[in-house]
Amino acid sequence: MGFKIGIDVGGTFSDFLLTDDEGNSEIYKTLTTPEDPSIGVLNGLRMMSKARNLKFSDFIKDVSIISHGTTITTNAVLTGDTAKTGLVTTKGHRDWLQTRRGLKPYCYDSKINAPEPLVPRRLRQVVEERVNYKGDVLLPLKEEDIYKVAAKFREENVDAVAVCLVFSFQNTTHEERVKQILEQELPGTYVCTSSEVLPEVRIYERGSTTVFNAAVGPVLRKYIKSALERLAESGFKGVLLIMQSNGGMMTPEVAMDFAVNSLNSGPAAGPKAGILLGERHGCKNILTVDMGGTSFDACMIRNGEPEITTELDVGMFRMAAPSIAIHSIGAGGGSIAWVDHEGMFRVGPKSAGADPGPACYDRECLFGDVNEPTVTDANVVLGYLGDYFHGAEMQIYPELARNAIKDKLCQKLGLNTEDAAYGIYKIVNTNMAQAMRVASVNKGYDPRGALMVSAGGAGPMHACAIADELEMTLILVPKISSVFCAAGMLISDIKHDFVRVAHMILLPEYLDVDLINKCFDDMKAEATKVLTQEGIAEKDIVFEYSADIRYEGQFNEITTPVTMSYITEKFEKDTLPLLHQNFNKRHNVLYGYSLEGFTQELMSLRLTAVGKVEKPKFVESPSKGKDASGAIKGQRDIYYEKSWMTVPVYDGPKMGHDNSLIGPAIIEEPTTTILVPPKWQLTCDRYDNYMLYPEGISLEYALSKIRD
Amino acid sequence: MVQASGNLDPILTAVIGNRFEAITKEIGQAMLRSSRSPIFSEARDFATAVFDKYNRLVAETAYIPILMASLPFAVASISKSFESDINEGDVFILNDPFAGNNHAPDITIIKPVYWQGELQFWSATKGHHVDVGGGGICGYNPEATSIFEECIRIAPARLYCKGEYQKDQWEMLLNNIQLGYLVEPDLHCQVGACKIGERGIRALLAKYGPEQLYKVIEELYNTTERQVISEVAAIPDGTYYAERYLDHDGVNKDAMIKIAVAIEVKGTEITFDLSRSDSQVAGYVNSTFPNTASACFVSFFTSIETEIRFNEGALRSINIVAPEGLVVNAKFPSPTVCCTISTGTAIVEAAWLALSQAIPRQVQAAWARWCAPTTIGFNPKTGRIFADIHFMCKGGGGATYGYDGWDHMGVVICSGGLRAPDPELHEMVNPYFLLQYEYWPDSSGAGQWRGGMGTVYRWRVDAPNVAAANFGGGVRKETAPFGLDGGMDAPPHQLSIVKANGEMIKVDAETFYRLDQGDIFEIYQSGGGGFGRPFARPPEKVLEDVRNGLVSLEKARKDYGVVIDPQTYQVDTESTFMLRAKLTT
Repeated sequence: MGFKIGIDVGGTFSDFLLTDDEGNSEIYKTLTTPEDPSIGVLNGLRMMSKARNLKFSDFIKDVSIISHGTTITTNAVLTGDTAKTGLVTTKGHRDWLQTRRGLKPYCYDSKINAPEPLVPRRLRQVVEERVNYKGDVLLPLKEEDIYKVAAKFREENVDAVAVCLVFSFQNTTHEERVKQILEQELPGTYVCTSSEVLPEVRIYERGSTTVFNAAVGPVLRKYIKSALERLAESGFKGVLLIMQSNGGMMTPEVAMDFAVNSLNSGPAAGPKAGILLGERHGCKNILTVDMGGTSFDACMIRNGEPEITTELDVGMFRMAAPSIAIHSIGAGGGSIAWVDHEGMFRVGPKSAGADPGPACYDRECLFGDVNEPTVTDANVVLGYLGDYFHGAEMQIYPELARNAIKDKLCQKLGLNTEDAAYGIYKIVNTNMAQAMRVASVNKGYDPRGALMVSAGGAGPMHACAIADELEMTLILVPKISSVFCAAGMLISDIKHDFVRVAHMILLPEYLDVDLINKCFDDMKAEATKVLTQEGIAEKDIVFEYSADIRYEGQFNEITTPVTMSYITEKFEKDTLPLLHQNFNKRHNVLYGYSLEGFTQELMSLRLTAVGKVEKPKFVESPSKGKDASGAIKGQRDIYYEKSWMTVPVYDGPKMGHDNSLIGPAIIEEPTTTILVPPKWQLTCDRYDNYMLYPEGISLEYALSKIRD
Repeated sequence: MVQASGNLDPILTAVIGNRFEAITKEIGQAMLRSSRSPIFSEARDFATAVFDKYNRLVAETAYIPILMASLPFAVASISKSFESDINEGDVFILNDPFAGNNHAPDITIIKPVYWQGELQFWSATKGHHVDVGGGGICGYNPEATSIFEECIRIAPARLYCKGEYQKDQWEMLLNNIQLGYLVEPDLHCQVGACKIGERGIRALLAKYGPEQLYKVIEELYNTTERQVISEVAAIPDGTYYAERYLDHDGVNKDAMIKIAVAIEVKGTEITFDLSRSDSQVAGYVNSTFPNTASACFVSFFTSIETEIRFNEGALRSINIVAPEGLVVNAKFPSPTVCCTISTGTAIVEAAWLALSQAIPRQVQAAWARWCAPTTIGFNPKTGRIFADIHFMCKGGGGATYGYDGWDHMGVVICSGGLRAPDPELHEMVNPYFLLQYEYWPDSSGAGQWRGGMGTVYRWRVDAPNVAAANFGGGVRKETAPFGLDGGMDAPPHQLSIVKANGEMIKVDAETFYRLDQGDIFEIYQSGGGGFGRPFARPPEKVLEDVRNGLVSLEKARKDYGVVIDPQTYQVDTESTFMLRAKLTT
């Protein structure tokens, strides 16, 4: 049955992508309603039914899936709008949340404040108990302490409680009992334990993740309840899915318990959309990049799978649940160009943001000074950005951009205006290329064998120049980048990550095959239970097994895939050499050496469970022929590599399947502008997306180079 | 393109400068993530750098600041030692402090980077190893009176020659080290990290060619030099003098040791003159020149405001005077292992005190000194020898104008670069049981901006016969963290061992101890010094600290002049006003 809808709830706008059984898709946009985002969502759904001339109740009952990304938890953390949260931990260990690992980000800078933890010390309470590293209870749980803590929390009107006790991942009974009593004593309070949220070693990392979960839990719960109620009232019978930072989806029921998994899920949909777009061309190695106003995100996808990390920091506190590894730097259209006091030319990381924004916006400057020149201003001076900015809904003032660059940069650098502007363009490009190197080369992957998918309003003006820097030869720019993320959500499966600590030396004599299989079986049972509750049939569940391994004595592990027997689906002793080999190989790539024959140590086992969800279809567009000249709407002068040139300007919405052109040229879409520099050419693919590749080679050849 | 004032494309300079910085971080990531010495993996006690073919520092990431200026001496020494005999595929090693290294445990490993048959750059690493032989524990021997009791001395030597593994050299080294099973893979880790650096440097050479790179490098040096000079010019001319003391040298426990720094500023020139420091001493707190120089750079770079790329240009713009034969530049064969953590700290403190006379608002109050044990023994959990440094012992950072100090930071020579280990992993791999690891209330120096909090770290020994070397100081009033500009000092550290039989032993600086099953080691690490008069701290901030149990009611009243009702936990505004007025007169 019916419609599938992807929704990306952003800060200002919510973008909707609607697909039907035939594969037709439509896009919609509504204003986000921050006080209750579910209102905006319902508004969007109503807009769709109206556009189809359907009664709302008739339309909504035909919707089978709503896939939904939300920044509600991320925003709650960024704006300090989280639930009032308490923390219960083991007596003698009260402060790990605030002491963190004792690192200061800029050693030489004395003028910065330490970060404030989400739970102040007076709400970090202790109970007497102790479990040792093997899980033995050394000190029984003193229950009267829990009642005292409950009284304190009641008095303080705490909305949520995180429970994280020392070594709870080895023995969960104390945490469970604390939770049970607190739930009795503090009805309606959101209580979660570290052994549910992330049962792995390292108390600060596990505990901080649990605290995040508690702090955003009530916020997400309130929102989901409201959304579910509104949808139910309107007759929705399908499935609502929520995006997670690991790139998978979850159902609302799971999301309410594991709210932390939605934290920072915003950028996770981009790589997923990149996978969809790449797969249509047979590309499985993809670098997705997203350049917006203030930040640039890069993510490497290998063999159709994005890189996963457990080392994400949110506001200087660790969020250790598995997340898509996105390398982010402060580079965007709003990045400020400046000359330091000894003449070094720099761009970013400071940004003019949306207010005052780039100088050419002519927003009032708050500090009475001239506005700072930004990357967007450079793009205006260079002629890349014309007056069709945001579909001509927004006025820009090129003379202000010129003035800002002239006043703030030219004299100090001894450059004329266009060279200074081109310098900004070039420096920000190399900064972005460096971020892409970190995301690829530093992980041992060669970007030259990957497709670049470039989204975000500012990205496609820089894509070819960055590709030149990295010697990449194929770029895909999605036709409609506003629903790029919404499309990513629609093609994402339900996905849950599980972890168990299983510490052992990986030598045949110490190998505890039973323990390994018990951990995996345990996780599989848990995964199957959750996914079945989420409506996934057992046959649609796929498991991925991996192990966190290190050489004995190391302090960091590498997550290494584990091969299970085809027949028994168990871990067998004779695959140990393969495991060793996989680890050695990865170690060599990452760190420049491997130690064949050195003892390896297993720390944890991980299971990723994927519940396959039915995917939408997308129809191909009819061919518009090679000749794109019908879409030319004018021409303008641009400055590229030391010279001015006059280039044609194409009207993007008139271009489609098979249209081709050779650079230099500009294509203007309502939400983005594409610069095709000299020596590059462009062809629209079957879905009207833009494919850019160097002049002199065919698209087929460019594709063949990245298909292996 | 129009040329900039420096006769060079400013865009290219920025691009290449950023790349070199990034390469040093790539080398660092490999070490950070793959080493097994907790000292460089967890405590990040290492530095990575790129040098040019004239042994000049191009770019560096010092994961802890005290290593910032020490690598150049080591690279110069190796390069000189092998002058006409450096080949593609060589890898060099050095640890001898009397051949250009800072102190013996920090092993320098560097690899020449060739391009079209010619040496162009060096990829360099330095890291603190868990064992370098000698009679100490993890290198720390508070009873040593010469270098021969501290380590096996590695003069500049080759680990690889033209790509060939030098088996004899490795065996020579590893046969003299107890914890070879940890040191050997960590040497491989450094070699691997150098290769990661080489990969990045060669990519740059391929793209720009050596000629262009060298033009840019000169510009990078000049830019940094100009930046440093303009920072110096902003400091009022004059000579600023201050001194600080070390608790003792481990051998003569009755004598504190003076570190004196006179900073002379004349226009754009700055000199750190340490000539009035004490003569070299018997024990292992003697400093080497590279370490002394590093400490001076740390004090300067933590007191200026702009972000400056640290390279050759910075090194050549600051003068350091430390005559041979003094504790700040000891002669062969003095023991020197504790010079980084003990002496380096005292130099930074003295230099800060001196600088505070010139640029008071830019300088920090003192951080808690290092004072914690390194231990070695047999681990019944694994059936093997274990060794560890207790990096959880982290005191507070000092406050500065406008900012409270950071909590749980550790010693100033690391300035917040020292990462505390995870207590659970620590307990899993060592025969220790953690009883307490949290803030030590009332441990910070009061001030308008208070010092960061110190910590309590108490643990029980679950194995017989464990040897401990307690190194570092700060256990007496004279060596406790100082406050600045009316801010108060923090208390000295308090360390003791409660024996299984109940006997209590007070633990001193720089001393060996023997621990047994059931003994409890109790460490109270002080917080940082305060900045500005405590009475100027807003009462509501004091109240917040009291409600969070960081400052006691008594201390709020005594140090801050803030009266808080013990029942309601509200500030008694009137009494506070009266008390502050009274205490001021």
